[in-house]
Amino acid sequence: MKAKSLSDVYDIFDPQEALIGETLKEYYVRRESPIDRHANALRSSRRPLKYLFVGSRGNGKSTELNRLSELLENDLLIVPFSIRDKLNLYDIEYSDILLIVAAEIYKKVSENVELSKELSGYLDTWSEKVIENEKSLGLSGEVKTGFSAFFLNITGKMKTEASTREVTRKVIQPQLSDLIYAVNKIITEAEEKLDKKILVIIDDLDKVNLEKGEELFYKHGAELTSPICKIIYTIPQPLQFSNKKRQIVLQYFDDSIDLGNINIRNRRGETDPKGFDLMKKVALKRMDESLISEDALKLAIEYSAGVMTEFIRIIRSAGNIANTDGRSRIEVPDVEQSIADTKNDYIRILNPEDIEILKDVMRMKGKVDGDKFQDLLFCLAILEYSNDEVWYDIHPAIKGIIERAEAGEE
Amino acid sequence: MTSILPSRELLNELKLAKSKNSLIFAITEDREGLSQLLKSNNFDVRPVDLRDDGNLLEMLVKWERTPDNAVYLIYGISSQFPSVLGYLNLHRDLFYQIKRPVLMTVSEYEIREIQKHAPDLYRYRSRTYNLNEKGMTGIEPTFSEPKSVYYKLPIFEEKIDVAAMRERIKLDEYLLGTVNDDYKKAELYMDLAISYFKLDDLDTGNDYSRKSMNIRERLKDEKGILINYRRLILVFLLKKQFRKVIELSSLLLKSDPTSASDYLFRGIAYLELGQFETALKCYDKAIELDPRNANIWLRKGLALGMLNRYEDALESFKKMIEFDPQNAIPWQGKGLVLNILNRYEDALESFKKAIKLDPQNAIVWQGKGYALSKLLRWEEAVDSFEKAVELDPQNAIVWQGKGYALSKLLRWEEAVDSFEKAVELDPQNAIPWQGKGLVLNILNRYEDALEAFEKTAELGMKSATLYITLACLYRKLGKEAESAEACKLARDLIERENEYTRACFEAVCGSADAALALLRTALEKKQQTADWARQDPDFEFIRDDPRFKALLDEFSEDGKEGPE
Repeated sequence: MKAKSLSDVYDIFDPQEALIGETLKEYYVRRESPIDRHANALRSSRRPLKYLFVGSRGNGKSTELNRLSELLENDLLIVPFSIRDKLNLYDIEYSDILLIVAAEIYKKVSENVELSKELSGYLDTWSEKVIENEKSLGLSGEVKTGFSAFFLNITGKMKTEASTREVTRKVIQPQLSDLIYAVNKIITEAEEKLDKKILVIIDDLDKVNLEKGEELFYKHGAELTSPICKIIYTIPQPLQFSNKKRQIVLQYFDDSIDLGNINIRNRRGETDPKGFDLMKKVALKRMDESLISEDALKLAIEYSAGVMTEFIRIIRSAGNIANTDGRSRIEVPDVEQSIADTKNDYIRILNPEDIEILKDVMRMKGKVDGDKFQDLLFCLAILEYSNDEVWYDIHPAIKGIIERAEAGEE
Repeated sequence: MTSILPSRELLNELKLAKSKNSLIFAITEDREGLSQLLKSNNFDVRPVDLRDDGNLLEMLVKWERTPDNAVYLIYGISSQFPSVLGYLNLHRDLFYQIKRPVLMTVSEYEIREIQKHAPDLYRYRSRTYNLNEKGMTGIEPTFSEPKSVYYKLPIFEEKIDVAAMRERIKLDEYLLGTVNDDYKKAELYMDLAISYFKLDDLDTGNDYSRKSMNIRERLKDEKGILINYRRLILVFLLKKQFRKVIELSSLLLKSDPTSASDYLFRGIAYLELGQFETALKCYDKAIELDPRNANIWLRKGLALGMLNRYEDALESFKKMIEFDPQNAIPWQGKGLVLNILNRYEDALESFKKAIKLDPQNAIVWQGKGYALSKLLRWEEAVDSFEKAVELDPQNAIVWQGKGYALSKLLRWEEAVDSFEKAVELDPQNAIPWQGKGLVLNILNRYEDALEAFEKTAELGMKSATLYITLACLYRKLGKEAESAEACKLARDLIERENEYTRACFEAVCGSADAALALLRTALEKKQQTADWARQDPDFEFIRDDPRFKALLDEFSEDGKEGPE
């Protein structure tokens, strides 16, 4: 449904919602995305490709992964899930992830194909052994026999029960090779029976912090890439700047997919008509053109800095401002008011040291060494773009402040 | 509400967000005003106060039970910093499930912390309204260096929830991985230290506390260092490591000898170690520095009580009442001391006041029950003990008091039940065993009574009364040798006893004349009532003597008065 009024705009421009299913079909606007290139590789390669997926906060990663699922759903057996729904993100270990990957593959495969008696028997024996070991470590509770019941029981508790996590790790980690062997047996049999390769897409792993990201992908990259199916792991953006990232990709992964922000301007500051047009389409796929003046839309695009959720929020907020006044169309002052909020957000968190870095970035359009640069990147005060090369700029909402700060110095 | 335009926009947004998921922030110092504004615009305001350590998401998941026009008004988030930041950042997707607008009222400080440390949550917001008078529009921005930050870290908890503590550790570790600001790192290290100390992992606790101190020293954050030491003092108080408390508070007093709170901490530790005089000196010093601090007066009162200086203790409690009249604790302390001083009517008044201020305190009901017992108001005493038992069913002393009061009302079976509960909860206490024995004896359950009295003696009680009763019971059960032995033990102690007990003893020994003479004196002195003596099993052997009956009849009119 396209917004016909400003109250519709409030519903449809929801910054909390990634596009999926019907909304993906209805509102998605094709953007220059590395997903398309990698979709082809995932479709055609027989190899169990392993990719990392990275992008800045709010730039549409989840929507792109949902789109990838749809692109490949006829060619591959897709196992997509958010790690946040399955595990506790502040208490997560590589073996938890592998256990959940195994459970999700098993669940999806079981919906599509009947596993052989031999494999089912093997999996039941394996799960019974794990249950016995867990019982010996004091994890009691409802114990159901069989691999399926075991996974249902354990994965249900992994997210919420610290004791379940601890005991499961104690049992699983020493016998991780058994788990990997079991999941690989499922993959092999399912791929053969279905005549389809399996692709696991794990979203929201980018929410872990850098230290945990390094631990998972650098220390345990070998384990995380051991299932013999295709896997895409989202990774925290700070890992992008870690000196370990290169080694992680070289040793364990086939590639890192970087989803950049949409270019609104180029490095020289000139308007990028393609990016502008794309953002305009994003808005007009969701709302009637009569609900926003052209100038207001241009301003909203400019100040979104090419970050999708920022753009969605600016329009929603400007719509509310206009609606409060009883108007039925968003005008430039409405967008300006909305942008003022964003500006205030930055004023609140920036300190003099940040201002110096922002001045450098604004001048050089390049990277500055140090943690501070990364912090500013993660809070979207600095934005990463790429045309033929990667370049950086500061958020347009704070450009005026930085320019005034520079002028004051002079 | 002073900022009219943002308020109008906020109201409009809440109307648009009716029955939908929407996370909105409002910076305001006038939460009450905002709440009134929402109510006057027909929103069903659901306040969620996070200052009581409530779990925000657990509260919000009940949204389906609210009407369509409900708005959650959240406040007090900083009281759960830092852990709530990590928690909400990672669970922010749950807000999507809540189909009611969630309006989080925050201060400038709170919104800054949320932006920095819960960026994924913040990204989910619909808008941030600045409802303070000037807002920020049009103001020239000023940027400042990172400032020291001190979170309100929870230290005292009634019960340490190990699973929750581990979760908190995981959250802090997660936040440590996202924070570059040294002031915040120092706080997170300290929070971790506190959690590990609470889990009795002293080594890890010490490691983290040292890390926090090292950062603070490097930053020359003297205030932070002091705060850390005080937190450690509180943790060690919680963990009953009183020597460490004394060590740290002494260290702090060296650098600041004018700190009343450090003297107070030291006093508490000395009191717990049984060094009451030293504790008292600490409290006196603390009072000298901070004479209006009610808490110090309370502690001083307790120390004086321990030193049997009850009149002085009373003065301390009176002082505390003067400075904090709405606090039930000094009224409780005053009542307890007045009980000790046998000023039961005054004690009763204090307990009544304490109950009015805090009706859920079992100790006060227990003290009131005791005072009423002493005033022979047995029915009321039973009521008070019953209330105390209801609030604290695991307190053996209360059951014992209730049993005693019930026995005075001749409600024997109920009394036995109460004494049995008391011995079940505290089997090493001789007194309820004795009470149980007394009542069973009256109920003619001699075997059971004997068992209870033998247990009483086994637990170390040595009194003429006990041996007399034992002698009597042995005799009744035909155990003459045991009876003679008990009589011998009683005789060694009898000279110190009052006339009533000695009368019992003579009766058990078969000396009717001596028994009757002593009983007369006892009744004259009102050591017991004639009614009590009439059914006292110790007089069984002279009960048929007409002189015994005549004597009791003579005193029975006064029998309503109880023992002094």
